[in-house]
Amino acid sequence: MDHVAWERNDYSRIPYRLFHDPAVYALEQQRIFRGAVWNYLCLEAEIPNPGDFRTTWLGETPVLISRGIKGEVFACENRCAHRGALVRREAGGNDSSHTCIYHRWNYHLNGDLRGIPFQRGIRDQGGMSGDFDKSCHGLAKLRVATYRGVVFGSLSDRAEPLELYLGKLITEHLDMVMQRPIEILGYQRQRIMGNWKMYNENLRDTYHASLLHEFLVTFGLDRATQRGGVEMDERHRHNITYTYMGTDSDAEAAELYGQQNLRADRLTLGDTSMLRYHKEFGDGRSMATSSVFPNVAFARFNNTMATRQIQPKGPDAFVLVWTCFGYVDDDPELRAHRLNQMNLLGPGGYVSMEDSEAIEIVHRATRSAFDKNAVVEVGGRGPIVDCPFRVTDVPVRGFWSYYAEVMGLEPQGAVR
Amino acid sequence: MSGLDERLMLGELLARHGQLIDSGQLREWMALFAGKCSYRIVPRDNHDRGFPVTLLQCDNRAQLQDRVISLLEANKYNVHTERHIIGTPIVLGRSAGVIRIEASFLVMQADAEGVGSVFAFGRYLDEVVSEAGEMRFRSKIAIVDNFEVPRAISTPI
Repeated sequence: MDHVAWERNDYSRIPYRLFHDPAVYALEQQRIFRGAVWNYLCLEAEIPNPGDFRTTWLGETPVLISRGIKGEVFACENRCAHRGALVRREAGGNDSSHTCIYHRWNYHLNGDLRGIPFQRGIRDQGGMSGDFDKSCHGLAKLRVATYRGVVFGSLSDRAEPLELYLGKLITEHLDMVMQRPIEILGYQRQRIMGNWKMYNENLRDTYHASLLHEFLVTFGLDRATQRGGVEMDERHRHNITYTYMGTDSDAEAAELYGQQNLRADRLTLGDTSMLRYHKEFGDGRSMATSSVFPNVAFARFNNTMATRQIQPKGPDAFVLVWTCFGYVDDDPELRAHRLNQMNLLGPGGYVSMEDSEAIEIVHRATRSAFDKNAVVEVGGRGPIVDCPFRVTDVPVRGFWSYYAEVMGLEPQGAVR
Repeated sequence: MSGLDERLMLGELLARHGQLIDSGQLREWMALFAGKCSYRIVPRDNHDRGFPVTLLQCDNRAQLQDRVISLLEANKYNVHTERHIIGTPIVLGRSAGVIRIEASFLVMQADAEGVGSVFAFGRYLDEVVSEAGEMRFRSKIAIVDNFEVPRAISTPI
């Protein structure tokens, strides 16, 4: 796996092979998830107290995140240094150290090896040899960095400092989303039978939102006729899609969608409370969803907020974990509103259920099409630039340009 | 009503719930709910850990109807049929005309090519009342044990 037959150097053609070839998937684990990037791990609010821990996945690598006695955040590969068993099997908990059940090797919260049963054997027989150095046999440690209560990990020494990696685009987005102490409201998980990169594409493709999701159009939550657009960081690895609700009219939308033989007024809701938007962010945007390379989205959609973590499970499936939150100082009414509005999103969301289906039908139909390409040129070809409009999938090309760079698979004269 | 009659009617209500969903009669399914009602699908881990996030929640009849209409008229989701297997309900308690019951469920799905799979299993925690001589759900909560949802949730559980 050292070459991809790109048809265009601006990523306006994407070989379907990249979604299906097991060799590509194996290389992604090595060059992306174990490479010089920062991966989302969890939120600090999930491990508030010393000894709190959580388990998760970074690509296919099992990861254990722990809160130290002094409040530090540690992350290690969740794999015993002895025989490779998962050290922690639970989703989370609190403990003073971590013990593997297999042979009870015991680790400090930071991953250092603390004790081995029968290290000296029994009655001078068996056990480890005298020169066994515990300090060389801890859990493999990740680099950890946090920004505004979001915990990222890297398995590479080469990843640049987190704030540079995220760039102003994402740090400013997190400044707003994580503006006050958050309260975890719960989790949603789903397994989508498609390649993990298709979810990244979906997040960066604003063209689909008002075509696939009739609900958004009908109720004016997110229409291509509204003011909105897409922004990327300089390297086009991250993306933010944004909308300003109420910047078009129902009549104008009905006319413009009507010209495409799309109806924007077919449905009415008996209870419209779900659609309310309490303005709570300084930028005036009703929706701002970021996609951060390679494994997370930070989404605020009206008054719902969630991180969406992508956990690849082979080329043909990924798990999406939604960590839903509000703010600690929410009054009961706003908290209830957020929970009600979460009906829009997640595995059973009025809107999101359709994204999983879209991804699965692409995955199913392209499995046999290694030599064919997806067409990505809505919003223009050539240079990859921000778009102050909605009918575009330029950020999809941005994703692929950075993907190709990290994978070492750029075409000749690649657009970056 | 004798205890035996009550058991039979509760079982009938749950069986009708499964049958109306499995046959695609979602408008008729709504009639199994009382005038004031709620319906929720909850991941088991959130339920056990006290987190309020659901997978789907309708807090009143209008919201239930909105869900059904949107599913029937607007939403796109995986082409499938489903089959509910619902266990014998047990009565957890009763107060002021409300019977609280629990029953296990198993929901299987078959896709457009007839390939079948387990979709969801767990338990219902329901509150049942009598309206106009018929048993109706005042509250229905489906707590899903396999809380990593395969694909997506569209049709009610």
